[in-house]
Amino acid sequence: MIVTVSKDDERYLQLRRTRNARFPTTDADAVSGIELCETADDVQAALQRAVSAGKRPTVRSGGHCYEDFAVNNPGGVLIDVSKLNTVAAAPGGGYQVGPGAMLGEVYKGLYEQAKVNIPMGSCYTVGAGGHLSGGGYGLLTRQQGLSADLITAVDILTVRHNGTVEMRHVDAHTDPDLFRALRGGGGANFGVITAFYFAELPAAPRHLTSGGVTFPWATMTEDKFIQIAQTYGHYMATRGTERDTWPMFTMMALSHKTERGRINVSATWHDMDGTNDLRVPTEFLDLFLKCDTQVAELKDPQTSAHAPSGGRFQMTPCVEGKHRWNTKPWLEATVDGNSGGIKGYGSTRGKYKSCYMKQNFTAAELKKMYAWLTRDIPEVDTGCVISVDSYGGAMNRPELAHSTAVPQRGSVMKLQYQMYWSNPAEDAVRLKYFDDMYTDIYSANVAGKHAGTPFPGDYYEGCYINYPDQDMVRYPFWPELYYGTGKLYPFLQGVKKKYDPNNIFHNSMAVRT
Amino acid sequence: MKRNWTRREFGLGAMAIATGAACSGAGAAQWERKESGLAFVGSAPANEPGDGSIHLFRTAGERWTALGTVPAAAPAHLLLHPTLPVLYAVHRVDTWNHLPRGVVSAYRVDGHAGRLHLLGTQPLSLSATLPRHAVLTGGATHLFVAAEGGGIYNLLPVAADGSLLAVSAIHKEFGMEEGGLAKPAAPNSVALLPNGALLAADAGLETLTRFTLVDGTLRPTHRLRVHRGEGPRELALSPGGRFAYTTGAATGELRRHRLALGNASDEVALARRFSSPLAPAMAYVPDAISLLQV
Ligand SMILES: Cc1cc2nc3c(=O)[nH]c(=O)nc-3n(C[C@H](O)[C@H](O)[C@H](O)COP(=O)(O)OP(=O)(O)OC[C@H]3O[C@@H](n4cnc5c(N)ncnc54)[C@H](O)[C@@H]3O)c2cc1C
Repeated sequence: MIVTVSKDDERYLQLRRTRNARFPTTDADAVSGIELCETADDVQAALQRAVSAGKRPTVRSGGHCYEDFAVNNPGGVLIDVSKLNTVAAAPGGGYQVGPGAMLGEVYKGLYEQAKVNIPMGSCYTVGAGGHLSGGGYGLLTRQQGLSADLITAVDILTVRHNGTVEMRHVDAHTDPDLFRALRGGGGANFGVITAFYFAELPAAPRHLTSGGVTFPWATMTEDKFIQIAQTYGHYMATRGTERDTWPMFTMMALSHKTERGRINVSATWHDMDGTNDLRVPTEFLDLFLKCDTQVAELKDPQTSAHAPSGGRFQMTPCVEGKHRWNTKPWLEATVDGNSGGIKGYGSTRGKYKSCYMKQNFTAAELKKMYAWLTRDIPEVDTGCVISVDSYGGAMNRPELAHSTAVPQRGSVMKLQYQMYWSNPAEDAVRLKYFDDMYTDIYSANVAGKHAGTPFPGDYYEGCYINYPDQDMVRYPFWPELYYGTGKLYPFLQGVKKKYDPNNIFHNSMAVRT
Repeated sequence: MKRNWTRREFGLGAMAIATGAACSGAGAAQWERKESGLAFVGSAPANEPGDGSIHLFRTAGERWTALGTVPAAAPAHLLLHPTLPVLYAVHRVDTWNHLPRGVVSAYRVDGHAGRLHLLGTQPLSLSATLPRHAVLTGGATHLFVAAEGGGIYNLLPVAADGSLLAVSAIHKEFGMEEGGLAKPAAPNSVALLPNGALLAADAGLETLTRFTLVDGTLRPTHRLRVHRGEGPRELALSPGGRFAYTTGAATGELRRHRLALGNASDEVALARRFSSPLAPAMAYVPDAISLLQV
């Protein structure tokens, strides 16, 4: 059954929103109505109704889009597929995941059914619809690949030239071009996805163990900052590429300087076989011992009372070979805390940017990062963070670049720039600061017309389409940042022309024809 | 009218012409058409979108004197407000501020000084690219724009001073399939019918469509298939609104359609090849149809 929520309905203001409180930008940008669908047939009917009425349809699954793609749709129709949340065995074998399923539900459902896993992201409430079609990565990506790498078929509603909506079941044999495009190219370009299929899935780990080191901003210097970041980057670019390290996910949170702030480095180990051998993450954390000069002053670093909550971080220096680890059963650790807020509708405003890195950081790049992270926006609590995630491993198999729409198969780190606030009056100043910061940092190693961006080259491999950033469209070459400099973007343009000839599915960063 | 303009003079591409005259008395707000006055010519170079301009002329009968040029993105179509000294330009661009959309702008006409002052520029909706033509609705409350690239119509409210507000209604067309061939929609000319409805010619759908404004939204209320195989390109109404004239997009064939209650009916072909199929505009003059060409 379709529930239609129009402007005069008291649910309208709640349901026209997304997780990011910046959107819809204004009332005039909002949709004219929301179609809450329960089944693929509902979606087909709602989509046909919108197209026939000359209205622009946009699609929402989990509502976690970083930009305005789904909910800034003036006068248009928002097709909500969050109730299509099946996580089940697929008819004929394998597994089926509805686009509306939240990642936490997918982890839980697949584990309970068959102890298997899709290597997805870490936020419980992100929706499969946007996440899987845009690539989808997380803690197990180095070990098991991207979520999109494992998709073997997709059900998608597309719109023909004459406006007729039709259901397609696409895979490597049927509409293989569309199938490839949907494995990481961003679903919102081509139609409405109503199901993902996975013929086989890897086993879920047994346990998840995490630990970390933390460096206070209070004693931070530029040299130390560079040393910490380069220690991290060097590992990822060298030892971190070796097979035995792939079950490890690492993260370095380069947070903006505050009085009590810290820079945290964490290691998370996936126990795949029940041995929970922690040698690899121990070796990794040991590297950071050299980054702190206070060794003599701390008697029992492993139990420091200053460690952040959760017990996952310890003050450096810590004792070589011994770290304070926190081990939990994998499922419990993965769906822990239902993170992300109920249904993902938050009151927080956010802005994000991304960068794929092929090499360690350069000192010039880190000096710029340090300068920005220690610079404040006047009268605003600047609070932003550059999260540096480990990357590569299983997802760096070059052949996957040709069977999916994710061209970045040579990176060892993936950066996510994040800024959060709640006061709309701060939008302009924050967005400008954030943009200036990023542009400056990516002018350190990139020259000429690509300066200001992590353009694919020796250092970088562009940006992640699931972390879309509208600032980038000011560069005429923005598609190359997201889809590489090879033939992928022209390929996606061809797919777009063929399967969405009317450009029904568009947004500011959709594939343009 | 000066007859010897060439494509070279205004650059290759679309060109638009609007004429009118500022009242000579005090209070330039009054605006009427008369023998002497101002004329505006838009030029939109096809090769360098964004590098267009609007040329101003003082007219006295057949004599036109150039007053100046205002840079403008790509003014493929110009039209005047019926009562205010305001000129509207439809810019045939496929990107505006880095987004896939066209744009329209409004200028206040200073009749005495012979100048244009930009009142504002409004982007069209996403995907409404390559707008080609526009018309003001009855009472000049809205500007109705046809965006050929995206197969989209946009409606923009007109403020009391004649400036344009953000797009308030969108109608997105889809294409057609016939005999194994498929064509995207391509709305390209629009006209205001005497009963307040709007008429639109679409070369892709090969239709004349009547739109009605219902609660601020655009509703197609009648469609007629015309110029089968090629679709209509230009559209002009006879002054009383009894007939709509269209030219075929490929052949340039001129057809006349009788209008009853705003519905068009397919009627007679008046000429096989009326003019160049690339001609950008067609206007009805009292005793004949004349096509303005560049
Ligand atoms: C708190 C948070 C944590 C995150 N963590 C991670 C992470 O660990 N790893 C990671 O890779 N990414 C992560 N992301 C990014 C996330 O993957 C993307 O934002 C993703 O696109 C969200 O999908 P959604 O369905 O929740 O969002 P939505 O806003 O519903 O959709 C996002 C986009 O996909 C389109 N879309 C949604 N459903 C469909 C459908 N059924 N058919 C076609 N198009 C559709 C929408 O129109 C929109 O353009 C995170 C985001 C947030 C906010």
